[in-house]
Amino acid sequence: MPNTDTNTKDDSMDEIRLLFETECNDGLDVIESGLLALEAGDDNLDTVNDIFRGAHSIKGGAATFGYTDIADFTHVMETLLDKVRSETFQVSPPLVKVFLESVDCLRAMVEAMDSGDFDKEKTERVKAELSGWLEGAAEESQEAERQGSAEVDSATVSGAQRWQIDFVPESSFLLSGNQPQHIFRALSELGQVTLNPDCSKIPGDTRFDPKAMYLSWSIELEADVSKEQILEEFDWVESECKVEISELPCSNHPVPVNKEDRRAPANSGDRRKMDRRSGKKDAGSIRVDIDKIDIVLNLVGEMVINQSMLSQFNSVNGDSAAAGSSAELDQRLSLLERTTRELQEAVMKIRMLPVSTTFNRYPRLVYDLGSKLDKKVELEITGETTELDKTVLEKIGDPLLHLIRNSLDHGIESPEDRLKAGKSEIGTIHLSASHEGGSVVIRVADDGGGLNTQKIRKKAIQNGVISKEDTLTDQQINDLIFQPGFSTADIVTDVSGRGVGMDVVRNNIEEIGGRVEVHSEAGKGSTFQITLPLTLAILDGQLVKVGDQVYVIPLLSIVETVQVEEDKINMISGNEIVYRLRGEVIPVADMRKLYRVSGADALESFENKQLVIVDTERRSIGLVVDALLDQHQVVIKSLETNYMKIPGMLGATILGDGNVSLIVDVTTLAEPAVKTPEGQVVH
Amino acid sequence: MAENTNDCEELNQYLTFVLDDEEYGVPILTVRGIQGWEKTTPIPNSPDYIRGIINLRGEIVPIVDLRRRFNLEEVPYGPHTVVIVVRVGQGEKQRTVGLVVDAVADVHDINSEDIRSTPDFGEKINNEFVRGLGLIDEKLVIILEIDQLIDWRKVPVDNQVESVAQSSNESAVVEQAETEAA
Repeated sequence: MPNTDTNTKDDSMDEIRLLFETECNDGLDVIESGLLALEAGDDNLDTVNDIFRGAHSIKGGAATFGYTDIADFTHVMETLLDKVRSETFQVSPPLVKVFLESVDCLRAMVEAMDSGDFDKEKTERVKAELSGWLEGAAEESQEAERQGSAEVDSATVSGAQRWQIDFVPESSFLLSGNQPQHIFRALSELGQVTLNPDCSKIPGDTRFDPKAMYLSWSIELEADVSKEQILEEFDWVESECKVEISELPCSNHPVPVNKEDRRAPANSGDRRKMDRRSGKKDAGSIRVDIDKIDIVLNLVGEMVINQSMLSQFNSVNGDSAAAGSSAELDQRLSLLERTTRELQEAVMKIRMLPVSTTFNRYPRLVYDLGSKLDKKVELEITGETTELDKTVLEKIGDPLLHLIRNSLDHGIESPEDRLKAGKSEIGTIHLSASHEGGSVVIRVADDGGGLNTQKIRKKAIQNGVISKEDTLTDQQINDLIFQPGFSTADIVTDVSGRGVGMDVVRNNIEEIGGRVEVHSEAGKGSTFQITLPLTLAILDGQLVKVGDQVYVIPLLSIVETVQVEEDKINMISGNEIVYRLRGEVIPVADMRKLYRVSGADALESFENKQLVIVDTERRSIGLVVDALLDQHQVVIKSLETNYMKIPGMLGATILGDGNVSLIVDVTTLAEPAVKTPEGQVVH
Repeated sequence: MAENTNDCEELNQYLTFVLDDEEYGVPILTVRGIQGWEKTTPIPNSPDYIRGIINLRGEIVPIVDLRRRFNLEEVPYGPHTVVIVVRVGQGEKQRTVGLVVDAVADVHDINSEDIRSTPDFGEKINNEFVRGLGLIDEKLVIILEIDQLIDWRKVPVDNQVESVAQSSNESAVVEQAETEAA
């Protein structure tokens, strides 16, 4: 498509702006996690440096693109951070809080970059708060000076650069009418000036010449100016003096706060020169648009299909062909198969990201909520390097958030209760990720009070989910929290407990092919365990034949398959079919009826039919199919790309023969009108 | 992407095809390919004019039967039956769709001044599918508004089929059923 010049420019501008936005968000993430680490007592100098660097690059970028709001805001933040960095300032919880709020403001500003539609009031407030801290910083250091700890006279112009000026006038300096005090005055207009005169050259004897200049000065200037600007002040006297200007580290005064322990030895409290922690660098990575990866993935999938078609063709026609060439072809084909598999796996890996990209959101959440609820909670994260498909990761964010919020609100008790129960005052939420079998397991475990089984039971009876007569094990009762409209919070808070909750969590997780379970022990805490597929792009499937159609049922959800024995079938009220399997009654769904499969009339006889029992968490369902075919790893193709989401279907796939087959979404099967005889009872 | 349609209009070239003895046209730049009819995989709970989905070079593409879509009399598919693959929609919402037609006719240049606005067709063909009428000498070509061929906003549900999965779109489903009944 021909693009006009202006368009190209706009496009590249947009691209750069997008890049800036991404960079800002990355920077903010670094700042946030750094701040939380500080809050947690991390006193690594590098952490502060990381935060500072993050703020600095945002400021730079914002200034370049003319987002003055962001630049101004970050400048104040940076100045204050610099104080922290140079250790004139100790990190305290209130300070971290202000910084975190500024991160929020910046996020809002970055998001509303073009519209300018952000909460200006809040931004101003936080900015003022930051400035307030800065002034406080100044006072503090002045106080330090008063206490005689050093010749501090800086810090009123906070965070500015510090210059060391060695000013040595010639002895003839005064003869030409120059007066050093003029220069000093001019300098003090630039910033804070500290004069250290050197009087050592004054002759104490008769050689003293009243017209000669014996003095020299060592001047410290704290001002946000360039070297050139300082030199300008000496322009008039250039030929009659020696001026040497050097940049000083931000501040190397001893500080009024007791942070000697935090200081690296042999480093006079200056963190600026500290190098970034080695090993944390993500060396040699590039940003690639996810769409581009998907195109490659698509092509590779197509290649896998073509390859398997070739193999099939060969095995069918192999006999008729000359035996020798067929054997060689076989060999080549298996080689090709291996390469394509490897290629497919390699491309899949590109889409994988460490779970830390999602986990990193939560320390902040725990921090905020903990202070809001007056609970002391520590979030432990392990296994954050475990990798998951990007799409899975994106979709797991909200359910996890909900679970953590839940643990904080309902799980962890108040500090008083915890002490009474003989536990440590500080509660722990342990967020972990690990590989188990072919899946990734994420756990959210708290050491709180555990689920209140009695309360859940009462509530379930009240809501009509179960009846009074039902006898359920504790585990079964605990599982009830995943039922819609279930919340046992005594008080409905704005944190959680509005009745929507765990069922949404379960739905979201099931949507991406995962499962969630809860284990709880009264008084010791509860654990939510989420089992997720490694990727959404590939699935192990059982191919089944219904009429003239082939469907794919995800292998993970299949419990077992049985040959239908007709005498085990019962018709309930004429149209609901159930199957008795080892004493259990399983509702049966006829796939040809469900999907209106052409080339097949409604089911008349169950003779020679197969029953595929699938587990949908809510219940087991038997699917009647004509025949079981192969088991295959299939590439899931979205139906939404060119069409739209089809209820009851996970997607489609292309089979080895090039035909398209639909993948059954087992989770939606639990919703049709196949009911257990008891109506609503689930377990 | 937005210039796409503009370019088409500037080019004024249309691929025409035959459907029930009438000639229809689509802007040639929206056409991605022409292929023979092949078996489709039917989609459960979709309107009957969606014949199903096919594999088009690794992409899943829905196939629309234009005779069914326009409520024309159905004829068995023959050797001339072809699928015209077109790109519909704009910007990021672009989709690839296959259209089943009786036969491909020609490629015509039709100037925009030769395109008349649409008279009321009554019940035979819904007006919303037609962008205008093109005149080539004495011949009439019906220029299609292909973006309207599938109503993407509504979940398509064959009203004869029992709704199995209870989606939140039930109201839309009912609406659709009613429109179709009308």
